Amino acid sequence: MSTIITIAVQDILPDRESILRAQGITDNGRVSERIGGSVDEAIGLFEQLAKPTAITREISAADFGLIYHGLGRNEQPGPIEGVYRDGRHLLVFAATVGPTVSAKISELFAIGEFVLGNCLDAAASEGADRISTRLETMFAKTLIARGIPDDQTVVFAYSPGYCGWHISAQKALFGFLRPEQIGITLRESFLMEPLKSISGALIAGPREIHIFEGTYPFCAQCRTQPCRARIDALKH
Amino acid sequence: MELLKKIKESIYNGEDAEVRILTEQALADDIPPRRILDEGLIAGMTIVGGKFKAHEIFLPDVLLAAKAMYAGMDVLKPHFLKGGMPSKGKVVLGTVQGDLHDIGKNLVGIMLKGAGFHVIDLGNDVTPQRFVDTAVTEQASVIGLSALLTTTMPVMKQVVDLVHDRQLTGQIRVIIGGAPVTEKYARDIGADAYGFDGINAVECVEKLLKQV
Repeated sequence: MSTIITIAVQDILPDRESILRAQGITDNGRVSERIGGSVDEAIGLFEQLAKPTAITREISAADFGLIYHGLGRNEQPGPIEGVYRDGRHLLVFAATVGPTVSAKISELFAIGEFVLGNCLDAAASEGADRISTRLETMFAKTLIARGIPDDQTVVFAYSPGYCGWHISAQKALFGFLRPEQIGITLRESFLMEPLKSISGALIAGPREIHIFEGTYPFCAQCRTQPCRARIDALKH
Repeated sequence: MELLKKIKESIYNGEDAEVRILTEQALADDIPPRRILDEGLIAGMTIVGGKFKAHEIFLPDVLLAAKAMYAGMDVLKPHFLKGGMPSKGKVVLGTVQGDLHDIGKNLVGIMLKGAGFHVIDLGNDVTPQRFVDTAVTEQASVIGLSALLTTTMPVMKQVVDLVHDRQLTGQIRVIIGGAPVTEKYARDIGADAYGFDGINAVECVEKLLKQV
């Protein structure tokens, strides 16, 4: 059975630093008052317009394997195969911040408010990513409440489009989960609408299952490498 | 000329209201509109582009400068009667069929306009036929393609192939960009250039237009 979850926007609110980082401004970069003001305004707009919603459904490793392999277009080899096979509890998810934020971004660009539009776009992307972090925490708590030992409940999210998992696998994921129930649809190109939506699987197990090296051929193409920081945190 | 220098500085500082006032003043002082455009507005954006490339300023600074430039161009537009605003060339821009991501494409469009190009933005989910038909109708020299998904990148090759099939190779150049796109991919599909960010896209388009 699927579960629909309404997430409090305050739980996924992006911070200033992440929005600036998305625009190439690191901690040591100069930020004018004007640009800082736009960042703050973007966060305010995101808080006002975002309607974060998720749909989740637990799944066996065997059934997840069918989703993972999807249309057979994954990179071979890839790390997720090992992760899910060793995972103890799995759940597939899809989530969105809602269509209103994307509409506002388009409107801001159309009226020449480029900085605010770009900041809001960065805020929305960061907010969408934070939904998966929130879902990780929620799933871990659910498992602990069921009496699953702590050391079996390290939960990480994995998404199509990353780590060799081809985005076409979303077709099988959508078939299983039916995210249309929360307004997320999938195009033939495997693009999700609304744009600021995410999908994937939460895999829970001992921390070792999530540790892999970033030495796959496709790792070199990955601009963000979100896996590295969390794997490094597991190692220490 | 002091006024043109002030316009350049105001562009760099992203002061759109000031650019508007200074541009109006320059016109009132009988400075030719073309000179205001070239030596004030575009010259200011050229400095901005250089500073961005040198990592001295960042994307939001460039966007503020672009907004300031547009403010100046709005003042100048009515003063270019015949043939409209002069431009360095026409670029047809869009996100390819099946894809709706448009932020990167928008940023490239903003920077191309800021550099003095006439940009015809077709939006997103654009078919190969529409790209090429528009380029032909508008007599554009460059088609710029954006894709954010590996599944929509193949449409870029369809555009390149269509340009070739309609014997427009050399007359219309194709530049591609987007997160999953690489220089190698551009070479593999026969595109003329790959732009890794907005400023780089402007440089590439300028080089392409020298070849046409």
